[in-house]
Amino acid sequence: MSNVAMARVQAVVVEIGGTPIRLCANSASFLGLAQDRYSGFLSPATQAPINLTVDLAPRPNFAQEDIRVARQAGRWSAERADFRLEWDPKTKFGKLQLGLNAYSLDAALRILHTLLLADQGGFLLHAASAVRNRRAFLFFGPSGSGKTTLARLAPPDATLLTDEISYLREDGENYLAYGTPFTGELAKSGENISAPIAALYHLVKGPANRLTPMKPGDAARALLQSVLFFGEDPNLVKLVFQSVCDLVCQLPVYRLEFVPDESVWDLVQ
Amino acid sequence: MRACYIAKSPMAASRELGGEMIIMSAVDSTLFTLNDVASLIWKSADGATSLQEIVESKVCAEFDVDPSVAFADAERLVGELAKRGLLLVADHPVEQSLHAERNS
Repeated sequence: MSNVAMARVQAVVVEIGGTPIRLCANSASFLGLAQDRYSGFLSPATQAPINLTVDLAPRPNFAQEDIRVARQAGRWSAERADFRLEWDPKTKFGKLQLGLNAYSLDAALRILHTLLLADQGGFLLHAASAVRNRRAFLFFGPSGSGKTTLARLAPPDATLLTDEISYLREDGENYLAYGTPFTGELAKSGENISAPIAALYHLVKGPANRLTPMKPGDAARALLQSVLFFGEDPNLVKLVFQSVCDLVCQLPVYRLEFVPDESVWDLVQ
Repeated sequence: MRACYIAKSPMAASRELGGEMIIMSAVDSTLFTLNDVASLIWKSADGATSLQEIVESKVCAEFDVDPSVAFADAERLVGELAKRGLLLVADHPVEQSLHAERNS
């Protein structure tokens, strides 16, 4: 074997939410894709506690159907037409089969992070988030609720964590929000930083800007509509449910009616 | 009257938030919100106390309601929650689920 071949990179370590995941593949094309896709989230480490072996296989590039997630004998599997993920939480090793497609890789990593976060009092949320004055603010809601609009209107002193998928985790007495590379319409990766969460805002388009505190029950119901998780596994559902309930007991959650101009950020303090 | 014992199913997660009892089905992620009487029955569903005792000693003690009406309403509620897999119902004491059920 030549020196050039021996020196070929065979893995990249992608660190989102402070959780390094080593993607090991026998494909320079895949590793190049991963390096491009997660350029702000690459770790210089060569090893990581979590390892995925990637197997490139001919699969459809796009899938409309839901992801099927199941646990059997302690091992997780997640499957959609364009990828299949197997994950053993005991060994922290997994296998990922997919085509050369960044969207499929994103989806698989989001599932793996959801599984990892469930045991850490955290979850992924359909939310834009930004840091201002070293505090994180999250704006959640379904598609079309205005997450990307809020991100686009952010003032210069705000640092965008994501315009689409926010990463939350309990950290002692705080909840932290982390930047993610998971983008929405803005197609701009978030900054790879974290900050304590100051407040969450349930986005509702309205005739004027108005902020209303939400009761804990209303906040939990609204948040649960926007959490990424999978109904097929009872234990996972229960963990995420309790995490959301814990969060609304500790952090302020507001209903934010807004008109799409910069003035909405005056309410975000 | 047949004895009826109720216990929270391990397939349900529940939490009292700001005085509201919220239940999530771990089977299909459906959310339910209980009113005050239903919430009291849910909290009392320990598998060891009969439904009749719950109605007499808790519901009727806390709410101004006729015992026979309260018991009929409680039976309907229990039937509905059991149909959705949230409550376990038996004619003998039921071992309470060891799964986490927290109230804040």
